Amino acid sequence: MQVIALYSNKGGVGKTASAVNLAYLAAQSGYRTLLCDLDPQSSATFYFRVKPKLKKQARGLTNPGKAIDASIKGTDYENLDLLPADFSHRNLDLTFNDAKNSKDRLRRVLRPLRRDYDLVFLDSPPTINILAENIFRAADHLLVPLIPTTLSVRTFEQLQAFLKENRYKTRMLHSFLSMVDRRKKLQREAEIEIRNRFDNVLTASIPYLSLVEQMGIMREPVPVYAPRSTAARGYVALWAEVRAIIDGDR
Amino acid sequence: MTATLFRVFEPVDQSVLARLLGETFAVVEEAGQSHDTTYLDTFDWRLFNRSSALLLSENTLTLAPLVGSNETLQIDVDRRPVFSWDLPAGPFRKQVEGMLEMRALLVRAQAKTLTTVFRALNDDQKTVCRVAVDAVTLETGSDTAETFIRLLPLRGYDRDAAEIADLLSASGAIELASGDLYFAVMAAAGQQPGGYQPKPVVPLDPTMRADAAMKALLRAELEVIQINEPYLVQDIDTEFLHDYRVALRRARSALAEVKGVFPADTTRRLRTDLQVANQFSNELRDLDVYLLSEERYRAMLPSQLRDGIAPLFDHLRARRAAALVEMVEALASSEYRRVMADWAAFLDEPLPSRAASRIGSRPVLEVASRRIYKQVRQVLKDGRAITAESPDEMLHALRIECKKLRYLMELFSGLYEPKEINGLIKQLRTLQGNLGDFNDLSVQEAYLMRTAAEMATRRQPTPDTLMAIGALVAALDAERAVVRGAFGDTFDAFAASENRERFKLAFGSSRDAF
Repeated sequence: MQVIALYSNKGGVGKTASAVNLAYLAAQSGYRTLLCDLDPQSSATFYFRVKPKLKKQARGLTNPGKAIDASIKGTDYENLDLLPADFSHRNLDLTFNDAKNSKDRLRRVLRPLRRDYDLVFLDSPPTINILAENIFRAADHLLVPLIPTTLSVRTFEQLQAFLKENRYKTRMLHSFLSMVDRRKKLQREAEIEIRNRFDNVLTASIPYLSLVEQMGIMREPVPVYAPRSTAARGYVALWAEVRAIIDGDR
Repeated sequence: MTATLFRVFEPVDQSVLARLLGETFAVVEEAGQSHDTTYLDTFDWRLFNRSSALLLSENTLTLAPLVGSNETLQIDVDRRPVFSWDLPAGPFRKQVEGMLEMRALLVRAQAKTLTTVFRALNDDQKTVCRVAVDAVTLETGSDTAETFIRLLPLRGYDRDAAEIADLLSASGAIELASGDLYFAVMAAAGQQPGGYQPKPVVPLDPTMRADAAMKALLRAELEVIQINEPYLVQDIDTEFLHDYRVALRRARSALAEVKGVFPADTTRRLRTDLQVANQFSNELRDLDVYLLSEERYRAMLPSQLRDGIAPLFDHLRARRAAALVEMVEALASSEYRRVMADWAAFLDEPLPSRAASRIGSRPVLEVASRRIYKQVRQVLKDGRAITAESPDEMLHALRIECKKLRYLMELFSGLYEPKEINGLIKQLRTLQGNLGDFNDLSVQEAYLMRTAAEMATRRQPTPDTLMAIGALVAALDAERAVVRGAFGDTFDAFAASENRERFKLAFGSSRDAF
């Protein structure tokens, strides 16, 4: 089982859309995949039409292994399950502060699933608090969407510095360009700057399209409702690169 | 647990399924695909007898439990496997080889399945369960498809799946256990899983005339012979011949050991005939046994001699090919055909209204019990006479007496309480195991020495080969000493007073004493 976290300390960069579409494509490729919705806004949960309501018996369970097992829901797609947002909301965030080894909590919660899934995608909220450190420890790879702006360069540098300072393997860090609008001159310049400055930027990029935003209406991954679109092709190319990374890791 | 397999009695498409599920769920068709499935099992149903089904569909081989909740195993294969050793090494093969041993997989049924997968949606248009509809048509059967519905619940939506199961039941679908698809296919293909019994247990009325009972027993053995005979020529695996020969020997043993039931000249004639029939395949069976032990023999050798043994097995394989041709010719000979026809004719003859002998007219239970108990005492007497210094011949003689007892007990087992008789057979089998191993090792040593001499005159065996054969003989001899050493304790366990008491209760009358 490998854990891939879609992470950014900025909001609105396309984390959830990327997590949903990558998880879908991974499942289609035959990987037994779990998408964990760690974002209290529960957008991923909403996209998969899962009701954000916690089962009564799962609530307040002291054994996180049992709690997570009872909370996982099958999606409409083969090989793809979802851990709804309310699980993390109730079982992780609240306890992070009081549990011992609180930075390891997420990793330990996921451990019982290692025989059930080949891949786990974490869709995380924009944060750099204790939840972020839980994500860093649980993940084998961090995948950071970058909007081509000068500001992104700065925040990404901050993240790199933080990981280095806290002795995380910088090898686990990857980024890709997200919400790219090549009609904008400033973005084209920023893209060049980003690609020159960082050596861990994947080749594939995701265009800025209203089609992606329609996911909220369609409530399906982009490759399902617009398989031939530029956006779908972008996610397919991105998944191909991510797949090469995880297969190389095995 | 909710049933996940249903049988329905009409073709099911989207509109039919929507009707079956009522207003509660919407139905969307997801995918359809057609595939051929080949059902594999051995001639004697070794997989079925262990509640397993082996299915080949495209390149995927599936080992599925027919009952219970054992894990389903899958692997991909290039072509249809015949023996367990055709499978790639791994847990799948390990599981299968334990059940198959040396038997070949035969095609027991072939079915074409048209599978259509539907999704059942709730009010949020969320898929809550997949519903697969299988239309199964037999390759050899009629053209009408049988329709099955499988529920494939989604994680976290068990309650919806249970509701769908209830809706299907309410609309007339029949709930099935998961293995029932297998039974439906087998029935349609005209197969009877588990139907072949290499050692038939003939139910007998204890009061029936002994000669009538004997005929019934002999007829059952003849059936086993006739079932296996056509396969001998095809040389599919070694066990057709084995079962065939066991039936011949059981029949001959029955005639030899229960004397006086039929007229003496008839008994004598049939015994000689059956012995002749058995001789036709003696060499072939011996070679089969050596070749089946190839891996075991190799493992006995020091590693530097393991390659040296290969020419020996090449030699044995060449001899086996010749022995097979000889047996096939013998089976086609007029002498063999006369023997079998004569035997069948004897069994078909109506019984005389009065038995030909006094023993033939006695109730079978009495005749069988007396004969078995006499043989028990014979085995005990011969066994007690054997000490650590006794010559090998005495053990070989005891082995023969045990074998006679075994055949008698198995032949007449239909007369006794199954648990009791099987328990006693098991006791005997332990003793036979020791004696059989001792005999096999003696015979194998002598055979290897003879073969080495033969190879030395006809071919030019390398020193490696001769050394390997020598090492093998030494290893077999060491094992033989161990087996011989274990005889005393094995026999004492068999002859223990509680065992004697059980034999006496089952077969003895009050007049008999040890």
